[in-house]
This record gives sequence, structure tokens and C-alpha cells, in this order.
Amino acid sequence: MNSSLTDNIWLSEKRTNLLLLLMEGPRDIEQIKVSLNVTSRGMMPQIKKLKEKCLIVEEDETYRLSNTGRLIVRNMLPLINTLRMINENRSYWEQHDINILPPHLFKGLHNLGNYLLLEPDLNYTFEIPKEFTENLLRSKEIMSIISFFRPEYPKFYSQLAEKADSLTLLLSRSVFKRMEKNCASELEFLLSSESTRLYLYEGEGRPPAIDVSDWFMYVSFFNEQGRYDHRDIMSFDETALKWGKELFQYYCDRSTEITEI
Amino acid sequence: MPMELIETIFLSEKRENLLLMLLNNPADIKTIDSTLEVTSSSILPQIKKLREVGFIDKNENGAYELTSIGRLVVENMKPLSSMLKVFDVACEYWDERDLTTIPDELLDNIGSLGNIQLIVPDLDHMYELQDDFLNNMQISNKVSSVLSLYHPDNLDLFNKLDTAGVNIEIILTESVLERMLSDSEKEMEAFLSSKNTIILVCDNTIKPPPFSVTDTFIYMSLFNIQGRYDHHDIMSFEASALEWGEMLFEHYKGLATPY
Repeated sequence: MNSSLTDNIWLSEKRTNLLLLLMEGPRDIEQIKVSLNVTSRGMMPQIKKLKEKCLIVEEDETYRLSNTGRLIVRNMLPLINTLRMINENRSYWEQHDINILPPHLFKGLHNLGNYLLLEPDLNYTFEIPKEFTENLLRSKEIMSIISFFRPEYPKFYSQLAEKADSLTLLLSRSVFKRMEKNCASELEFLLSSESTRLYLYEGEGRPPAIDVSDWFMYVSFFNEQGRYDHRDIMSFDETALKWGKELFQYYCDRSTEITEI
Repeated sequence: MPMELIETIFLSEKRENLLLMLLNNPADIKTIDSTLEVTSSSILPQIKKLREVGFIDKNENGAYELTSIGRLVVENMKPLSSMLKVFDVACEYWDERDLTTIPDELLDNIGSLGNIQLIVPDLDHMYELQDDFLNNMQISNKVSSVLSLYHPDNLDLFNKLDTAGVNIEIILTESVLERMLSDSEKEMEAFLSSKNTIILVCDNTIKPPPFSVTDTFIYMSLFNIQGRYDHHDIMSFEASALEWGEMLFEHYKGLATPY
């Protein structure tokens, strides 16, 4: 028996790259040479192997994925993206509590896409990151899970309530208690605001803090000890926004709306 | 391309299988040896490599388990690994199938079919229901079938199952229903009035593949890309395959109406 499909798609970087390239559409050999920076001589044996396994098809001197090839590449992408993510920020993902995520969102963590890992300069540890405030102030529809308290939050979210078309806030029990005690007037304001809805999450575990809007998302995972270590993740990718909204919705479905204090 | 990590997973079939195995449960070295049919001395170097990249770890009971990033990787690897195993059985067969009416989510998980058998009858047995199909249907207690290909013996088989008290759900395409009504009026009458059988009908344009999923097995007669039946069937007995088949049946059920 000849080599397996696994060997065929993974054991040559040239082949893997060609499969991924063809996922974007058919290409002729000249386009392949330019995109992958290879020579015909180096590429032809690999093309032959992929053709033998029915992964790609040649038609009028252009190459395209076969039906099964397309299905396979569609399943390669989530794995490659996951590995890429781990490769780039291994210690971050090892040290943060991602196990708290509901199963489908855990598996889909790679949807964060081309995210940025933000680590504040030590002199700025106790301030809200600029990337966070600036992007939120420019957002129209905002959903936030507030699972730890910053002194600036009551004022900041009140400001958002005035600017945004809609603002949905989900507070953890401890954040809600703290706001009730220390910032009752802001809490009253948020409750009376037309555009704002407030929810209280009293379920198990402490969800990651997340803000997701119509054009960006910002998430802070707690570390393994359940502490916040001031390292945050920001992404502008479509897939990340969708992932963030699903995460918000998951916890929102398990919360109760706050209508008065 | 994170080639180094890719090689860590796929360069050794033992490592790939170990990762997939640990996705179910942590396991000590003895369990690993017996499940993967390997010797400790051959698997230990592989375990070491996987520990070095932080995908697995040893817990306080001395058993190996996936770390959280390990689990993240393996959950994203499993649909691909199992798909490749299914396609490896018959690459050309799969490439020539018409899978267009199967929803994407189920296609991505087609690896759930697991250990499939490809059934190709010899020329003298092309026109009868296959023994593998008949025998396993007759030991099933619950049957869900999509009949989008007319076979003269089907009605007889289902009537027998029905009499034996098997719970049956059937989706017929309009044209198969028409043919059954005109060819076997009496049998259809008995069948339609039965209490154990639920019959649904779907539009021809939905083009569901002919298949049956029971509490025992799944049997599929997928059409080829020309939309023809070419006497190539597949069969699987794995629990994941039955679950997959039920979801597929549910999908077509949503597109059908009770008769």
C-alpha cells in the first residue's frame, strides 16, 4: 500500500502550502511559482503526488482542489490556525484559564484570528488601556461581560451608554455588589438609560472579561490562579467578533436581567 | 506555517494515535501499551516529545493526560484525522461521490463514520439487496431510512421489519413514493396503516442520498457526481457513525412532510 493521506498533506511544506493556496481558488503553475516562491522543478513532483491521491485536479493547465481536497483543507485550517496561535504565544495560552470556555468556543478559540496580545508597560498597569477605551468609544453596538472591577468603569460605561446605539452589560455578582455600594448613582443612570440593558451572572465560574462591538473585540482571560495579570487580547477579525458575541450570548442566556436596585 | 508542531503530531503515527486516545481519558502507560498495541520502550520516546511541546503531562496518579493547549490542538485535529482515515479507505470512491446535499457541518465530521467497509458486489449480485444490508437490518430494533432510490425488494423488507415490531421511520422522495404506490398497491396499503412505521415524503429536488441508520449499523448508497447509483455502498458499525447518521436523518426529516 502506498503512503497515507496524512503523509501526503503534511510531510512536505510545499504540498501543504499548495493545498492552502488552492483553497483560495484555481491557479496555474506561474501563479503557484510566484505565490509560493518555488521553481517548477521543485513543485512538479509534489503536484504529481497530490494528483495521485485525488487531492487536486489539473484542467486546462490550471490546478484546483478536488471535492475531497476541498473538504480536507477545510478541516486543516482550524488545526493550522490553532497551532499557529500556540506557536506565537505559547506561554500566554498555557498560563490562562481557557478551560472555562464552553466546549464549542474552546475548540473555536482559533477564531480570534490575527489577534494582538497587549501587555501594558509597568508604568501603566493601573490604567485602562487606550486601545480599549478608544475603540469602544467608536463603537455603535456593544456587549460586555464585566467580571472584574476597575475604578474607572462606572464612569466609562456611563459615557458609552450615552454614545452607543445599544449597550448590554453583564455583571458578575461581585462587580454588581461593588457598584451598588460605591457607585449607586452611575448604576442608576445605566438602569435608566434607554440604550442600556444590564444582566447579572450568578452561575458557576468566573467568565473571562469581554467587550465585543460591531467592529472590534477585547478579551481578558484570568490566569491559572484565577487572577488578572493585565494581559489582554484584541482582534478586529470578523470571526473573532462572531466568537465574542457567542461567548457573550452563552453567559447572557444564563443570567437574569437587572431592572432595579 | 508551524511546521515543527505539525511534524510533532503527524510525523509519527504513534504520537497521533496517542493524542487522539488521550482526548477520551487520561491513561497510564499500561493502558497506553495495550490500547495502542505498542511496547513501553517504543512509546516512551514519543511521550517525551509530546511533553516537551507541552501537549501532554503526567498527573498526580501517574497517568498521562492532555494539557489545556494539548486538548485545544487535539480537538481541532480529530475531525481531520478521522476524515483522512475514512477517505484513505477509498480516495477515488470519495472523490466521485455527490455530497452536495449533506450539510457542511456534517461533512466536516464525516470522519465520524470511522472504520468503514466499502461494499462492491460482483456482477452476478448487482441487482439484489446486499446481504450485509439485509442481515443487519433484520437484527435492528430501530430503523431510520431514506429511500431515494427505488428497489423492488425494499417494501417487502420493511413490511417484514414492521411485522416484527421494529420502529421504523422512512423518508421517501416523491418519485419513489409514486412508483411504490403504482407497483405495489396492496403492500403499500398495509404499510401505510401500520402503527410502527412513520412515513415522510420529500421533494425530488432535495436529492437526499439513499441510506439507513439503525441501532446496529449505518449503510449508505451515495450517488456519484453524475447523480447516478453505481453499486458502491459503504457500511459502518461505530457508535460515532450511528450518531452522525441520525443527525443526517434529522436534517432530511426537517425538509420532509408526514405522508
